[in-house]
Amino acid sequence: MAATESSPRWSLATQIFLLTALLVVLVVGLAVGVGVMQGQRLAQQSVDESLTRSTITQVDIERLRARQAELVAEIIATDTNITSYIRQAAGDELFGDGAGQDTELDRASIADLMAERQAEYEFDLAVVLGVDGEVLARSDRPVRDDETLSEDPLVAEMVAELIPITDIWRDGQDLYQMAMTPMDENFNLIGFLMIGMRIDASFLDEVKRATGAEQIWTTPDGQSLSTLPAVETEQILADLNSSDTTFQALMAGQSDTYRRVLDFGGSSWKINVEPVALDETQVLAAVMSLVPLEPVLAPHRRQWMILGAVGAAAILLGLALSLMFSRRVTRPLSQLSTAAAAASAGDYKQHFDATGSSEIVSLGEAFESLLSELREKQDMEEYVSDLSRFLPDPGMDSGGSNRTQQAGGKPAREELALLALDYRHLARHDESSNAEDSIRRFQASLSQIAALAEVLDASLESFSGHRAIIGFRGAEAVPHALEFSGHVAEHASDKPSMALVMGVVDRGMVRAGLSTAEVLIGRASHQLDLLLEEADTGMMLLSPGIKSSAETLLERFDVQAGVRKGRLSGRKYYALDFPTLAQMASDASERTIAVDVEQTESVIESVSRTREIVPGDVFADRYEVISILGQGGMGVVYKALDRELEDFVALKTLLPDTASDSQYLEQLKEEIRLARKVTHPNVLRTFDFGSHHGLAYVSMEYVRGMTLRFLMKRARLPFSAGLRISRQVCAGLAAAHGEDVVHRDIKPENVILQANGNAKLMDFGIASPVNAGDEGLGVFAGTPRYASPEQMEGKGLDATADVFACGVMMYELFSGETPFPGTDLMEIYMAKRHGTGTPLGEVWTDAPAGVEAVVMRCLAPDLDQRYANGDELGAALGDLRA
Amino acid sequence: MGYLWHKFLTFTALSCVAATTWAADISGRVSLVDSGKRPAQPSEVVVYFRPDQAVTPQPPTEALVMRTRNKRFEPSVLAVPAGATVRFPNTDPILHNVFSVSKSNAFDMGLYGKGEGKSWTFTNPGLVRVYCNVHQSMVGHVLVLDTPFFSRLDASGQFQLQDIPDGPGRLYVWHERARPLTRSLELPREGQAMELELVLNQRTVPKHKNKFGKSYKRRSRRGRY
Repeated sequence: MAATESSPRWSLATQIFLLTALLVVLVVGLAVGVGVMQGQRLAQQSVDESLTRSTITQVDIERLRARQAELVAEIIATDTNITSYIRQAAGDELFGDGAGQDTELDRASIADLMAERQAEYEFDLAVVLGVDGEVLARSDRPVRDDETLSEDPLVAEMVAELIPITDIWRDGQDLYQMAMTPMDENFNLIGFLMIGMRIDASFLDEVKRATGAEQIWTTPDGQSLSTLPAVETEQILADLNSSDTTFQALMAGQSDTYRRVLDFGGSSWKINVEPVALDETQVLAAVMSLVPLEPVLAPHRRQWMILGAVGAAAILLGLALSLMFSRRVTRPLSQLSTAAAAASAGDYKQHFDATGSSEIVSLGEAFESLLSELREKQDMEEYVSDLSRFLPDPGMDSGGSNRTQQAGGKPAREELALLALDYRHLARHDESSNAEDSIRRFQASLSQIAALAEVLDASLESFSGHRAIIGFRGAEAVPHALEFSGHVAEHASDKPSMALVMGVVDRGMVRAGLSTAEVLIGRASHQLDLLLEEADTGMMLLSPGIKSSAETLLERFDVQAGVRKGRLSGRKYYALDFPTLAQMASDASERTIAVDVEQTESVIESVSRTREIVPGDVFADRYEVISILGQGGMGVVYKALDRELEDFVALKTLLPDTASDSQYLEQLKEEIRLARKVTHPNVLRTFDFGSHHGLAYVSMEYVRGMTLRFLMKRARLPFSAGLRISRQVCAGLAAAHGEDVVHRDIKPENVILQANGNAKLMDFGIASPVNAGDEGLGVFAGTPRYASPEQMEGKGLDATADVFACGVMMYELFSGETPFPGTDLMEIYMAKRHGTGTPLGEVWTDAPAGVEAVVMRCLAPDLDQRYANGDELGAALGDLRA
Repeated sequence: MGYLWHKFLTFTALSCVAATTWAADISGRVSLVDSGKRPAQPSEVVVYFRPDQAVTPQPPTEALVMRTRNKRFEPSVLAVPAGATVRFPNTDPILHNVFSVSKSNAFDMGLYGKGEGKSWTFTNPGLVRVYCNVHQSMVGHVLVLDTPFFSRLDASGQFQLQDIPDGPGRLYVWHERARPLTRSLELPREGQAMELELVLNQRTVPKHKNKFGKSYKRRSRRGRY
């Protein structure tokens, strides 16, 4: 019932975009919002300031006019010509008879004087009062006899206190700015003077011009002056009088200055209303300054619009940028994600070129390196998997690792020299013989010939019963076959009968039920059977074809094929007896320096000496021999079960000759003691060293796999696989060098590859246990093809010798060729010493960049020019990509 | 409060009656009742007697003097018989002008500098206010009398008029800030010396500038001016 609704999973780009967009909108919106709010506040403030400025200016103008009136009053009141008249008009009370008094005349004269001054000083009204406030003269009209202003509040105050006063003064319909001052004669009061500036339309216009604000003066009884058209003024006053209680209170003297917004004439105005009052209650007028809001707000409104437009543009730009940014940021991630998905699906053929930020680049590089690793591993695994078909199946170990088959079960027709060996004496059962003994003897023989086949580049084609068939290929097939048979004839403990033919056969696997068998079909095969039946023990019969093709060879060895009668039919066959064969083999060893085959004799020797050790034997009371894994230059390698540890180990026996050399054994022990310290996945571990019945042995980690040489013989490795193996070898080598252990014999034969593609370096200190301290010993040990020049000189070695050998091995691994070709030791040495090896690029034209430089640097004659050790070489290889 | 603004000049009454047969003396003392802020001086008070039977005064043969000194007329009050000539020397180092708009004795001497000055003969009786049109505070009073019997008060406020023919007449006491005090007398009169009181009722105006330097009282409640 709880239907799980799959929540939409937004892509990283979308999320980043949405987040960035949200941020942009928020920030811009906030900025615009704050800007508009601030703008509104500023606009309001601007209106208020404008109004304040306007009222201040208005007051200033009024103050100036008041001061003007005051100054005029001062001037007139201190003008002796005028005061003397006024004094005169007050009468000369010398004799108390009123003689010389002419009031009318005096007043007219004073009024005339005032009129004159009015024209001169530009005031609007002058009033001259007597000492008690009685009006003596006015500048605007004649004065009645009993006219007095003693009741006027302002005049009364002045008369009472004898001080000058300036204020708004109302006279009928008119309002004046009135300056009033007492007049004296030598401080004796003689009257009062009032000088007034009328508040009229021109005054309001002047204020408006100066302040920019419209002006309205209105009195409580409805009189008004205005700079606005009469209609609007009436409308405003009607509005205020009818609906503005504050205004009503102000006109009644109960409220002070206030401001408000008023709409009229289709627009909004801010007005400042100020009372003009005589005292707390008596209001003469209200003064209004009006500022239209629109012109003040308009610039701000324009700013808001611009701000809004800019904000919108910023948001759009921000969105576009954030979209671009998010895509740009996530594009490599998305590519990486796609590549990773493909890789996780098994496709490692992805390439990721990272651009952008350093994290992305390093991530991309790491991913690319990972992919490269995976590619190499995959290639390696494919390759190993392909080749692992050649490995003996579990339980068939007795066949030995060198029991090889060409191209598996794939049928092939080819020309071969076929050598058949028949140990028919084993078939004779008598009292003294038993099954175990006969099988063991056949096994020993088989091991010998298998080991020889490995060395002489031959293949064990098939074996059945007491017979085995060896195949030889190529131009040297017949000489090799003769050499092979010579060695057998010389060294074999059990002498077989042999037959040698040459011909075309079809090779392949056949199956019957669960059993499989290798078959050779052809006339050559039939001929071989026939010849073998006819051959006596200790005799090799030759087919006529062989006889003719080997003629030259036989001549060279100064031997001649004899003619023998067949064992069964009595027919005549070409034949070579064993002594002749043995002589040929020993001659061949003397006359040819085939690097690969120089150990042949010792192999045969070791095989023959250790022939007593067969599967099932218990070695040194501890190791139960399971099978023979192979033979090498130093001895035979067995697979054995360590009964104490209950684990499989590889046992390597050493040649009895060397094992008897005590100084050599001491050196070997020291080397192994060091080598045991090397623990690394790419190093085959050495466990123990001991001897059993005079046979020295070394126990080692047992792995199931193939030597690199074995692989290289079969097919050229893909570069990626070769690179991977090289890196692993270097890793193992670096571990060894870290422990100050030098291998001294790096070569494909000493690299074993497990079925999972992991390479292990083996035979540390065993292959050529010559102490590095023995400089000038002059003894060369190692493999000439791979050894560094200094090693060939028999000098002491350090890690760079391994680097050199590694270089040769990599050269061969990548190109299939050897950098210092040649069959002569001196020739090889000189090429190495002078650095005249073939550049890798010549034999491998499409070598990836950098590979040649790395390989050729390893091959430098000068130690200082090579990589110092496995670590450095490994780092250089790490930078290469397949 | 009264001690400052109300000064009373009191004089002990002196009895002084002339014994001559054809002429009588009037003597007495005048108390000045002054509520003004600028105290009046007794020397500014002129006492004169006008017999009903008018006695034409003989103008003095030499000019009387009212000089300008320190931008003041000195003496500030000068009583002269009609027909007398008054000279107005200027003792200040600046220009002065002497004029009068008196209807019966109007004159204007124009501006003149330091020196003997100019003279004017006051032929018509009456109060002549003499001004300087350059200096508003300068004012002098020339009382042109149609009687030879006049005198200023001495520093103690006493006066004495001598050699007045017997008969009725009026006694005047004048000060510029007072309505003239008049008494009808029958000479020779008996009794004590006269004890008179002159009230100086004309108001004086304080200096306009207040202590803040402001001369005009302005409404401050609205803060307009």
